[in-house]
Amino acid sequence: MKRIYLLAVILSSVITFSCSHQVTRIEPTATPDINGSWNNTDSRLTAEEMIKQCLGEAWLTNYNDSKGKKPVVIVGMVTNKSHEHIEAETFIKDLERTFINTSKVGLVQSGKKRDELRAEKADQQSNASVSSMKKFGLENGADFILQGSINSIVDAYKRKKSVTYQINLELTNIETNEIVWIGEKKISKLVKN
Amino acid sequence: MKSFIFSFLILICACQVKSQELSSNQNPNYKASLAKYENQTADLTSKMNTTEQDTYKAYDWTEAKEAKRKDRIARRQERALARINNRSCFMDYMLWNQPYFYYRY
Repeated sequence: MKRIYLLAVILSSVITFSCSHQVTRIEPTATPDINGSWNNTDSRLTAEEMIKQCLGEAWLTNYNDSKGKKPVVIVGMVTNKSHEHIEAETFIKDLERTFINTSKVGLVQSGKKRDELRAEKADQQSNASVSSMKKFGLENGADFILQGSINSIVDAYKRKKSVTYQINLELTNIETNEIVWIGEKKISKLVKN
Repeated sequence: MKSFIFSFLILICACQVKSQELSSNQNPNYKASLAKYENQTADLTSKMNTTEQDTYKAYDWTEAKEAKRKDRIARRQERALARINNRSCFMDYMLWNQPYFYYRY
């Protein structure tokens, strides 16, 4: 009889533990590579490199010296031409945050968020009090636009695969079309299945 | 005196109009480009601050192997179904009477 109870306990515990999945919380900086795809570590490394390059290069001091004010940047489109779905916002936001926190570069809103702002301003024209109503035509015009591209090269044979990602961001003077900075980050991986 | 002030104001207005029209070294044909783009700004700026996904399919050995396996299974199932649908009643009768007959799918 004891054996039957023991067997029942073992069986029930095996069923319970085999069906449950486990979640362990980890530091965002310690994301492990699971299958070799683009992951959080790649995004973080790209952001760090781009921040270092963007704020450390000549375009910024050149602009400050010639105009006597900090440059204002608007974020444009990033085109992902790689073989994976990659969302550039993860590292672009890190860059934007650094622009604001260091106060070296001004930033203006773009895209759908800007449309939302203008819609709110339009709404205020008929609903807000005159003293608190925000006026049209007083937005900060951007001096530079930040655009980018993500490319990848895949070389695979049987179970081995090498992937190289190339991420480029570039700043262009809106008035003159002059490209003043190109940032680059290359990430290479060797994957064995 | 009045005519002097009036002519002075006209001169200032003329200067302002002139300065609004062209900056130094500005292309005098800039209005052609402005007319081309001013009606498209909503379309052209709607994708700002987003990532356009223009991805391609890269060859992956494990994926290709899995796809081949799925194709093979589907092909076999189709063949088996076709065999069942095309079988005649006489053949059924004959085959069922064999001692070690079994269907192969």
